[in-house]
Amino acid sequence: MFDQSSIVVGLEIGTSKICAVVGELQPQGVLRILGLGQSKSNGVRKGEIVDMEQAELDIRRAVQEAEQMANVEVRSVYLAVTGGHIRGFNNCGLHIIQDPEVGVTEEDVKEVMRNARCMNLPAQEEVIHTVRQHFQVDGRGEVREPLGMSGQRLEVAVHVITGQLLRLQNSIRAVRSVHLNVEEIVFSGLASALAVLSAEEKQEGALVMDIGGGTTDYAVFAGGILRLGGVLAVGGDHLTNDLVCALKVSQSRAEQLKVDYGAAFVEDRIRGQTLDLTNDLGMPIRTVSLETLRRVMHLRLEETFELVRTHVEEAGLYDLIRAGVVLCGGCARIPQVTALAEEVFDLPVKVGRAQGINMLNPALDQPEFLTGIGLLRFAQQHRMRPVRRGFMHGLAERLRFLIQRG
Amino acid sequence: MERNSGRDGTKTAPEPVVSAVARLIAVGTAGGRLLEDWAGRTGSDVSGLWLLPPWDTLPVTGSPGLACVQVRGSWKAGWSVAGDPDRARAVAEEEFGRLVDLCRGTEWVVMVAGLGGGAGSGMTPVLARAAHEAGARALGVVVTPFHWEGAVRQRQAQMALEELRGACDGLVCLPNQKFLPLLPPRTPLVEVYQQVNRALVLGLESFWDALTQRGLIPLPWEHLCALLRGRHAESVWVTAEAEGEDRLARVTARFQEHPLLENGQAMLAATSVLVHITAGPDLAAAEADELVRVVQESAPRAEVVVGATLRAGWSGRIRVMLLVTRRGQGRLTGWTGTSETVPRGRGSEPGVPETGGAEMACQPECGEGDERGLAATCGDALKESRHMRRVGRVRYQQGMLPLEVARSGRFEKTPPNIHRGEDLDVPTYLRRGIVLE
Repeated sequence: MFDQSSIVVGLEIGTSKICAVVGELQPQGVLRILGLGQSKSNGVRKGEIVDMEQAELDIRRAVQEAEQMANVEVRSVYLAVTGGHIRGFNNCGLHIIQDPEVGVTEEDVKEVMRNARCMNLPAQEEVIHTVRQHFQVDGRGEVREPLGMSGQRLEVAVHVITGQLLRLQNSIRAVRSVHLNVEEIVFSGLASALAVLSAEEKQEGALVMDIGGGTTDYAVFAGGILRLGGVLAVGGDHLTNDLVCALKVSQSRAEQLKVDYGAAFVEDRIRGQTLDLTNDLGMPIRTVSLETLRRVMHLRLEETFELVRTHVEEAGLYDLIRAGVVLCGGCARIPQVTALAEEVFDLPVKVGRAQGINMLNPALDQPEFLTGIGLLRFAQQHRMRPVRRGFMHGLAERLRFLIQRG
Repeated sequence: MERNSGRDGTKTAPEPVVSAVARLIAVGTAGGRLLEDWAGRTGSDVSGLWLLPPWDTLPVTGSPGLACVQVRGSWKAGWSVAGDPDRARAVAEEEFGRLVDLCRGTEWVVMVAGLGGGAGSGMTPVLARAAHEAGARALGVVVTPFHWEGAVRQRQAQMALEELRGACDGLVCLPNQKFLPLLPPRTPLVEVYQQVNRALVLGLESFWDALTQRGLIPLPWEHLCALLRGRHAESVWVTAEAEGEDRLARVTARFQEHPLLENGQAMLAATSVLVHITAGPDLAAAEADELVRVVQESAPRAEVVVGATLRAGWSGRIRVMLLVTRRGQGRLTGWTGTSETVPRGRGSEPGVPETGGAEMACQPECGEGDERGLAATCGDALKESRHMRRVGRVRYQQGMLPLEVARSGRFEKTPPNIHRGEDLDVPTYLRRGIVLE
């Protein structure tokens, strides 16, 4: 079966582009990228599909390109999901240990995890990931591995990432309509984090912000585990839209201005400078102020960073981030954006690079492709985790149930 | 420079000196009504001057502590020009020396006026300049007309407002129309004016307290003006009063539904919020703490300044005034963009007055020069436009339309993106009220 082969495919349906990455899992945990296909995305707004037919066309194009490049036939994919409806929260499960004499058994762990996943979700919401944080035996301490410990009561804290079922199903349906199976859905912020963070950074604590075209997905890792995931439905599209409003230019023109002249700061030397807009004959039609352009971008980016910082602070995780902030996604290319993020977060900031990947082509090491690459990383962990088979199996089953309903 | 006020048009001599610090001058009919109401409420301990244009009859029954001053000039035109700000301005300019004398001997001149008519719109800016001439600073408290008063008055009010922004050191502008939702829908017209006046008087009283009472936590004047100043600064105040056990909850509830605060949008966009508490000696620390916390939460980007006055007879009673200012420009400059963000985790300690010290130091000179210059250019532009109006070309000009923020272009058909009460699809600069060049 294809499932057992070492070829995995990640598919990201983004707001500005759709990207399919084909990779090969090699022994010793090395991941090699065989091919990458992308196409411009026209049917997606703010991370969610609004035009099904267009999205299908784009997916097909991206997958075909990846197939040609990798010379494989793609049958199933790991699908990245995003959108403003996705949120993360903490939950906990409780279980009375069966036989205190023997201590915690695997059955107990399974049971407590099942309890943790039973939560009172609003209608139409579905769990995407359940990530366990730590165990407590009789309310004591933070235990990583409770097997064999003796006590009466086993508790587990989990971080749950949920999304709205109908909206998740849209992207699953789009993928299935081009005759591909969805093996797993993965929160795209988690995928990006897996791609860019080294084991050390995950341990020390890091915030990964993937500022894409339509959404900003963020994830906090600390102590080696995912502590927080979230989405703001704000991205590069919003920058463009702000410019459309402020400069009163067309969408495409604003996009071009953003790419050519955008930056995250208003420097003193550009004050009073203007840009000439030309029509298709090259004749100047009007001028816009460069300062205005920069200020609008500065305000939007600053606000986005502030909102994320507030969320992280409210979750009580700010102090756990010691390795700093990693930016990826298309907006990580904006000049000086790291400096602005440094100012807002008061932490070291860098633009993410893929970690531990054998690149087919160094040109693929771009901040935009990190989610796709991270999906392969997720697939790798997903397939090579026999120890936690029980937990992952349950999760997989749950997701399969979800996918089949879709 | 100084002309002597030889001309007499004064019924009562302008002797009631209110306080050495501040003097209250009402301009025109609306301002006078407001001040009369106020004098009636508070008794004779506070008083002010009432500046009238020549075509208004002097009120027969003078209120205690309220002195009427009528400027006459060489006015010979006739009654038909009542309501013309240009005539009022001309008269006031002619009597500029007397206005300067009225403003002499005080540090601050607080001008109360209703814009839209003749006297309020025309004379208030001149009075502001007179105050500067006399070495005092001018603080304007103005109301703009109801929509039903017509486009002409609206336009006159807007033009006067522009002029005042240049001429005053601080400006509080209260649109009458916004008070309307506070009243029951079938309220008679006469009563509407009375009710609105009552609301305004309540605010004025609190404001006056904040200015003159060196109470528990005094507010530095300079700081207040630094908050109110600026070409694009827009301030409103709201007051709420409550008694009893749950007084604080009632006050905060009132603020939440107050139309002037636009469902909290005004607070979100605010750059500074002044909280002034008047209460009895039983004011609990927890209450003050809670109040300031609520304010800071609803205005996360604003600088919150707190003042408090205690009154002996006010046990169980509390009155809170919020002076909400949103500033379009000023402190937001380039690399220091984020320095504008709220200092995180500021407590509600009474040590707030010193927070503005640093920025105060850098504001006055640059602000003053700018605004004088602006007043001049503004004045020229206005003269131009007035000239146009004389010719009669602008007669059918459309009045001010309410500012409708265009909803988020590209994201029009997507689900709204509401995050803590703000629609993130709307450009940030619009939500924060930042004026782009």
